[in-house]
Amino acid sequence: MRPSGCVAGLIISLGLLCGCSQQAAATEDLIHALSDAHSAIASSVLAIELYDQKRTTRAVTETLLGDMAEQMVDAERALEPVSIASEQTQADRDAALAAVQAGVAAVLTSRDQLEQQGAVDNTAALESAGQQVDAVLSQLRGGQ
Amino acid sequence: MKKSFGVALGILTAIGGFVDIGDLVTNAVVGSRFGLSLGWAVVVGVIGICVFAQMAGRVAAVSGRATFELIRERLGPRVAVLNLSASFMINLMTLTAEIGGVALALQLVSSVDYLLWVPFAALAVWLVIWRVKFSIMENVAGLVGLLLIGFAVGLFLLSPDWGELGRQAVQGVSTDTEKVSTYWFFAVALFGAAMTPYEVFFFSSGAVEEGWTEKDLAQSRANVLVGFPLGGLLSLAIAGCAAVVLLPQLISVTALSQVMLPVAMAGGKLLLAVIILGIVAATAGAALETTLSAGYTIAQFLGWPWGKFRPPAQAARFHLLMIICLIVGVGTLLTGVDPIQVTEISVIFSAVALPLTYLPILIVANDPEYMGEHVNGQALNGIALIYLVIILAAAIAAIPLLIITGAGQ
Repeated sequence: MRPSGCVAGLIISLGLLCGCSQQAAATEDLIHALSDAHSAIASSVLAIELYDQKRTTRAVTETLLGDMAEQMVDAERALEPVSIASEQTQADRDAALAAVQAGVAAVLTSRDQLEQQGAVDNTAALESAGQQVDAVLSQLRGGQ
Repeated sequence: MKKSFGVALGILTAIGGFVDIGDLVTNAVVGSRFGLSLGWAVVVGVIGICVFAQMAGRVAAVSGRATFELIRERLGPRVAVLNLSASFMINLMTLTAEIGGVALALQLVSSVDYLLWVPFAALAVWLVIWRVKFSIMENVAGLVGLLLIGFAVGLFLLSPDWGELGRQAVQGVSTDTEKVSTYWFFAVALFGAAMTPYEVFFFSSGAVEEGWTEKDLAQSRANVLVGFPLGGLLSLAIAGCAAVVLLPQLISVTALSQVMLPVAMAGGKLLLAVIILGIVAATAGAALETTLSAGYTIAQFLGWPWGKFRPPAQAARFHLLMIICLIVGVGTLLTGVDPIQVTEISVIFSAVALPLTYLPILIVANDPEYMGEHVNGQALNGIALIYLVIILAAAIAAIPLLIITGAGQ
């Protein structure tokens, strides 16, 4: 093989390696943000259930929902800078972003309801957002 | 009778005073992510703090002088300034975390944002240091902090599968999501949280404040060798509660409010109230101890008059220094920095500073000029040397692990 052929082969190999590692890093970032979102949503659902059963106080529940809303917003922010190396990564990031945004809305709505009405109407929106997050998460983990 | 009461009181306050925001947060985080698989790190840390705290207490009781004074005298100002810088900075970070912890606990009671509580928490700490007698301050904070036993009660009420918890402690937890580096990061964090340097400085200076002599050595040993291990069991109970309720749901603890979920599930509002009161007392007690330790370390190094046994007018620089430290802590928290993150970072940096804190204590405890017949025995020196190796390994590994894992993310 001519030297120029070797160099070209090396460049192509390096390019493929970089591309793969970039994609792996992006997937890792998505999984991390989605795991945080899962944790925040599960905590919120559990806190509201305990509040409905009168096992916890309004102050503790309000504080927890406020903390989890911040965590969801952080998870959403963490998804924005994820670099797109392929169409697959873009699709994954969009799905993750949609799931996390649904979670942000659900946690904020629950927190506002508790602050204004002293009760959360239902946890359906939270549970649905949780399922959405879990679905994307297991898809990403399966693809790793 | 009076002596037995004193010993019992000392042990109870040692148990209640053992857990601070660092232990609380780190154990809850670890329990929610690794179950009880890092319980061994708590055990290693508790044995380590027992070894060195009883040494520091003995040095103070026998020589009538606090550790830092002797370190400077025995090792010279150059070595002592290294020790001072590391210990003081870690102490300041811990003080900031503790005030943040008090504010977070008060938010759980009031739902008023913790940032609004921060100045009041610091003011309360200063007022107590200024006005309240040392023994009352120490005993009240320690005894109310004992309410954290509620975590152990909660763990029993949750009726966990004890066999599974035991299996976690021995074999570990198989998890697809956690890396080996993160496991070791938290092992170092738990070790650092258990062996936080301020505990030894406070214990030693407190012995001088209370006028301990050689006659009090037995009580000093009982406080450390019974009180601290029982405090360590509380730490394991916190991790256990998180392991039983949060780990199966893949909830990672990132906020103090999440630590309340297993408690509410186990014992409802009553247990919740008990635990929140315990957290306020434990963090406030630790805030008092770290504030005093900040004053102790600098004043003892510079040879200023120090101690609560003196009227504030006779130890003006000591008191001024503590006020400055409180202001720095409050200022840091008011920038909006997350107190939980400050706590996590402070326990890791504690691990980094450990060799600088504990090696000088070992040297002074072996000096017959200060200790007379009470120098360390061979067995104790053997254990202490093994611990110095562990401490050195933890100190070397701490920063690389912090960077590799992104602070345990």
